[in-house]
Amino acid sequence: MRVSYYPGCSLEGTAKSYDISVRHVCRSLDIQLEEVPTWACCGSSPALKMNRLLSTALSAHNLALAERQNLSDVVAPCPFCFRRLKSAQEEMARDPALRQKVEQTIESQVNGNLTIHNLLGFLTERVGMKAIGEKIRKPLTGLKLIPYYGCYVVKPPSVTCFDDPANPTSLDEILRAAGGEVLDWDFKSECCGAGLSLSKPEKVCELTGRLVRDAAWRGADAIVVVCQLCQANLDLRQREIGLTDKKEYQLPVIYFTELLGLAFGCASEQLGLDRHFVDPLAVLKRKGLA
Amino acid sequence: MTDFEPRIIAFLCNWCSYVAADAAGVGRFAQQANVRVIRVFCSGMVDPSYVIKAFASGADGVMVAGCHPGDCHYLAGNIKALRRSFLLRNLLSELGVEKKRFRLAWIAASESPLYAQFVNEFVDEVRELGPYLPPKTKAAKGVA
Amino acid sequence: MAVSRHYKYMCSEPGQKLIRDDIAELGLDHVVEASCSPKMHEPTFRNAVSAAGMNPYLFEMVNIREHCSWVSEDPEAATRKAKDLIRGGIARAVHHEPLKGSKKSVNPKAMIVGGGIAGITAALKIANAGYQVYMVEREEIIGGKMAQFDKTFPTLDCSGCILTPKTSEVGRHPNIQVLTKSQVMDLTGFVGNFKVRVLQKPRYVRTDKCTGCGDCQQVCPIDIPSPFELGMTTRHPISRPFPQAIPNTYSILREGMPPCQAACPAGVNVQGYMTLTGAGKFVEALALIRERMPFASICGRICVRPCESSCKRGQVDAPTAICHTKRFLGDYEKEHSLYSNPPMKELRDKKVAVIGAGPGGLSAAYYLAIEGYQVTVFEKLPVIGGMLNVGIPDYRLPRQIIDEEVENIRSMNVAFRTGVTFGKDITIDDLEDQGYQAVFLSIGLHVSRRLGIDGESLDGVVGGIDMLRMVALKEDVKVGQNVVVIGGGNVAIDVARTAVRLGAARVDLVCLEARDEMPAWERETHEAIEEGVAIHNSLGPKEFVGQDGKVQGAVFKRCTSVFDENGAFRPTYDENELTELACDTAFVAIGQASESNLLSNLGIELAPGGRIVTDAETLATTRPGLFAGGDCTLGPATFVQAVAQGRQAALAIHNFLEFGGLREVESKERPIDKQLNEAERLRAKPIARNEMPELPPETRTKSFDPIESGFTEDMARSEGQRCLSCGLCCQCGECVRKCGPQAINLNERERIHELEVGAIVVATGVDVFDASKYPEYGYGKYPDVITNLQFERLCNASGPTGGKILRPSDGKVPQNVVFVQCVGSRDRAKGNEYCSKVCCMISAKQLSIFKHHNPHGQAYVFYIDNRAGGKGYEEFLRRAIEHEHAQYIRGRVAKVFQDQGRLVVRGENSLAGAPVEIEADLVVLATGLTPQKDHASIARALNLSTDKYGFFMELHPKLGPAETSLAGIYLAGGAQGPKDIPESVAQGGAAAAEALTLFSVGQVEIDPTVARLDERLCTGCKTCAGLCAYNAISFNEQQKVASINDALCQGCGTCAAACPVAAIGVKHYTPDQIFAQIEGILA
Repeated sequence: MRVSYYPGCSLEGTAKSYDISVRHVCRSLDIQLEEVPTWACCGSSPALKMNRLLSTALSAHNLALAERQNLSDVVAPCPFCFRRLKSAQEEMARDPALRQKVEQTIESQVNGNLTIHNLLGFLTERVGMKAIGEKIRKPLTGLKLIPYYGCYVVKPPSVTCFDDPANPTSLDEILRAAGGEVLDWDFKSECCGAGLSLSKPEKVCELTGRLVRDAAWRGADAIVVVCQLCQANLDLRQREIGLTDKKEYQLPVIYFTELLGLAFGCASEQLGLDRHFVDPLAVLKRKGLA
Repeated sequence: MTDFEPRIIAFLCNWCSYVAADAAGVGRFAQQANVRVIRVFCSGMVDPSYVIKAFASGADGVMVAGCHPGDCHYLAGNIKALRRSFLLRNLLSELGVEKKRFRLAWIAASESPLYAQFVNEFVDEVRELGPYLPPKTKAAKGVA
Repeated sequence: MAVSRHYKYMCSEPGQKLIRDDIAELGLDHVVEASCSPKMHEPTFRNAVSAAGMNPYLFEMVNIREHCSWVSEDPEAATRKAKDLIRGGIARAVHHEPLKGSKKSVNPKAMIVGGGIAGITAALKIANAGYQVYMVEREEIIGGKMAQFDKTFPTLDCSGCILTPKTSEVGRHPNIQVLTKSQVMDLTGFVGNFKVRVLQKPRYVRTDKCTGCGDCQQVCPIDIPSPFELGMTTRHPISRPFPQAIPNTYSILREGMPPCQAACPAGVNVQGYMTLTGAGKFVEALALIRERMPFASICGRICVRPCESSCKRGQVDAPTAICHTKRFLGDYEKEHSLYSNPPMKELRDKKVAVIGAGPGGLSAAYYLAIEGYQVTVFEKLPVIGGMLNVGIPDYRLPRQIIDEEVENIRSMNVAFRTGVTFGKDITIDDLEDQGYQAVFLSIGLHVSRRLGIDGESLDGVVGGIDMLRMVALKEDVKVGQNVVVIGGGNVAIDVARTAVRLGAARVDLVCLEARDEMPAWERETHEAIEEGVAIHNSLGPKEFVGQDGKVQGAVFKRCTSVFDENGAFRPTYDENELTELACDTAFVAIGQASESNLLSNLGIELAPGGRIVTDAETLATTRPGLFAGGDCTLGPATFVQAVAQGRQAALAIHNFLEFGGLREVESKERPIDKQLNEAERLRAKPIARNEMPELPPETRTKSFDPIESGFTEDMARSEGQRCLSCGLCCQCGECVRKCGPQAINLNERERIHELEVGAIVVATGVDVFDASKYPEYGYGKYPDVITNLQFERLCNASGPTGGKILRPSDGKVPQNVVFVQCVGSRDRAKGNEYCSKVCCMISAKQLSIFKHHNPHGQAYVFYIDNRAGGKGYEEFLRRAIEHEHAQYIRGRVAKVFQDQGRLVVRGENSLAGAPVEIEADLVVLATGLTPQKDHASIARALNLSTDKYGFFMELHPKLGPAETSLAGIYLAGGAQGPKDIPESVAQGGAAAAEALTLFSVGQVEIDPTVARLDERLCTGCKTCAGLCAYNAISFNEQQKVASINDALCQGCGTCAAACPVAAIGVKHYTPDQIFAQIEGILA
């Protein structure tokens, strides 16, 4: 299978381990990722807040580039890129005037016929649990995992059209297929604070604090994420959260592709597991999984 | 043609559709004033000759509305109306009545908004078809 | 036209006077009124003209209001429309005829459908006025929802205290007959003369004998979630919702016959014996089995188990091991020497002969002996057991087991005579001479079918059935080294596996069928393969080849298909593809045939193939006194079918000898749905199916020792606990044995009552919205999220906690209780836009009760508006806020979730403009009132209209809340729409008043607008007769015309519309009138 791959800015930078592990997982599944050549920022933030046209144009620019690859599917691991690209394509289809303006701005035509996937949806819906199950070599036995979807990949349902916004289960399925013990909790798609990390850090602390505390209370070995903003928020602030409680939290926050890569048999060094604040390798080694 | 206002005869059954029409009145659901109601006790009471008589007397459209299947006050009168409607349609097309001019609908007593909507849609459809001209009249006027 | 008048309120008295005066002064003979809907005022105006002496059917009403002025936005178009309509009305009125309706008397009996407070009120008012009332109540007790409440608002009266005097009064009232567990099936007739059919499900406990002592509950082995307690505690199927219930007697919840019992040909009460085994009551379990199957140890080893294929536990994980458990029970009894004869009737002076000591014959002997008959069993072979002995190998069924079962039968005074061949050594006439008054033939099918191919008579080619019999009788059977077995059924497998045990080096089993088509059981085939049998599929025998008269090989042709498109056995072959297998012995096991030569002199009817033809119910042959059953009538069948037929024949013979024939067909219990439902799934205990210990293949082929060693006591017990109790009550009989007054009858069946009444009040009440439709509230996930009604049960002294408000999860006293209003009401997204009217008050009441129990607790209420419109309601609500310090927060709840183990309610405080989170020990959802789940079937049964939610439609929302558009049928209570208790009581009284008016007038005038036939026009085509839903049309064969009974005719006009010659018209709606109306409108 060949698909267009749109990593987005974060995966090039702070979320490099997401990008690395995605590529490994896809290679194992015989999915050829063709990175969109000369891709640029998708415009989801801060462009979206400042200038609607700019934001849509940025996405359109990338869509036009992807269309020239002649592949019908685009996969974007970052939920923000996923939503922005998808919304931009749909808005232009609904509003011909907007489309015309955007095409003028980017000096390029956009056909608007790509199928845009988030990575989690692509793996569960397109690749399928059976194919994933067949590649599992080293099940994550004994690893207690909290599945954290974050809000962006499942809401609003009219845009994302993916899983159940209040109680999603696709990540649970993948982790179970990988042999992990998936714990139930009520915060699967609660917000972590997203982009407020720099502007309203106390809010982020409050929101992520609740997530970390409940995950720890349930006895999780790790929190599994699909979004790099969630990853950053949860990973970076555990010391602060701990200070308030006079406790120490050391709950690793791992991308699901990193765990899936491990289960596929890739070496832990190759998956970027050494790029986290709260070290996941300690827990994984203790469980004999790395 | 732009001044043409269709005249439609509606046979409504006493137990369901007539009540719905009354309730549409109580609820003030606006309807175009083209429909003339004749009350019957059951949609099964509508003799095909009534429908033909209506068209022959100058109606541009005829509708028969009864209870939903299974809810007929007389058990299955509406089903008999349905059965008759198939043959009636064929007969009507022989008389040059286009399919869209005759409608059989199920409207429950509580479905007053549906009644109003149905009436308005039916009137619009018939208006688009234009006035009903019996075959002889059509030939005389040289209309195709 | 003599006069035209215009008056604003024609329906008022001055308006009507105008009409009356005009008729009198101007001598009018027709009146046309153009105003509102005839459904509103046609009766008013008909009365007005009657009062002036004019026939009311000379009056025509034209609707220019609801259909015209009220809905048109264009006054000119509306006026034109009104003119057209009036013209039509006048043109029609010209054709009006005077009509007179006949008067019919009213049957002064009432039926109240529903025993809640509205129904109770109506019933008492009508009954106290001296009229008879039937109260039809679906549940086991009357009282409805009020019986579940603790206290009522705003007085905080104890609900039971104000309800029970009323329910007692109903229970004892001489004029009220209460039918519980009953529902209306359908009704015919018209006002004053209804015929209603009511289906009553059995209570199984006699209300005239039960003393309410409760001994039965103590011994009931089954626990199910209690519907009355809304699942917060369990009850036994035999129970009583609370001590003051009316009827005050116990009753049994039984869903119907479970699929296991329904699938068993013998009708063994599977659920019953599995439940008893699960409770460790092995002796009782075995006694229950013996009611239908005398041979538990045998059945538990060889049965084909249709019960397990239907077991609903199989839809969860694996079916319960019903067969293995039965074997355990039989073996347990033997090991502990617990067998004693069942209670037997006194010995009769009548003799019955049984021919054939196989399962059919043994079963018949057993049941006949219980009835007291003297039974002698005649058996051709030297051994007893039929195919059990000579068809089934030892390793499946040890001989000892058969002998022990036969010993039990001998001890019941059954005589056996072996070595006697019926038809040769003894004939039917001999038996008659010896005084046998009835004979049961169960000779089975012991002839091995032949192939009819070349070489079949070679030495070494033997019939499969013959081989098994010779082995069993320890006769000499030559089994060589290379054995070929032909056949794909269980017999062939038995032959093959026996050959292995007799030392064959190689055994090839060859059959026509493909592997998945083979009729043999999969398990048996699998075990045969394990033991080294080679299976060759899709081959058909062509011929045997031999030398010196001894067989040396068998030649097969490829079988290309076995069954044709209709599934009939019609094998096709490819004669060119041949396979030869070398062999020195060949066993042909292709089917069983009848020894029909033995039956030839009986003069009875035989089917092709020699099977005896019998009556399906009585198993009687065409010769009186001669009955037959088992393989010899069914064809090759199973052990359990033979045993079932043996019992059936015993009963039939008893009826024949005692009464001369069949007495009464036993009515069967209704089987339940075969699909697993959610309630059943939740009852599944997490126990995996116990696996039967087996000898490994290498060991078992060395002997005929039994392969399976049997369940232990623990295994049997745990297996019994896997049962889902699909039928609810398992009819084990424990309660029957315990009941002192002998009030329990488990054989009670449904009954249909045909009741004649004059008026019906529909008071079927409400149900409660299903809160799991809001998954975000965690209902069903968190035990501490409950509904208002469940909270009510917690408060109620006879509830699951004895009246203490405790958290369901840990039994602790809650400190913070959060109420969430409008769950399922005022919500377009959930399809319920209406307000349920009472929930605001219910929550205020419940928080007040909570505060009285726990003065230090804190209550919160998330509300949208507070609806407190009744007398004293607003004041009560104020008390809740000011006195009980309840925190009312205006805003909806977004989510109820668990944060580090604590329940949190997140909602909006819209007045403060911010979200708010409250930690809750208990969350109470104010679920809205909805129509009953079965409202659609009630509506169909009574021909009622419902609104879009399912509440029944009243005649007029303002002026007719207790009537429907059907004369004689009235409404009361929640069935018409959500309301509180005082409104339900008021409406109950209103409905009663309607019925009482009808009774006191005593007569109704039947609408004369019925069909009328002009016989002169009738051509006798009979089109009309089949169309009438009321059977009002018959055909007069002499005069060759139709005839209409106007007492039955309802005036629907279907016949009139169908008549090809317009010979039928509905009076007042004749074709002339309608044609005129059409012409008038379109002129």
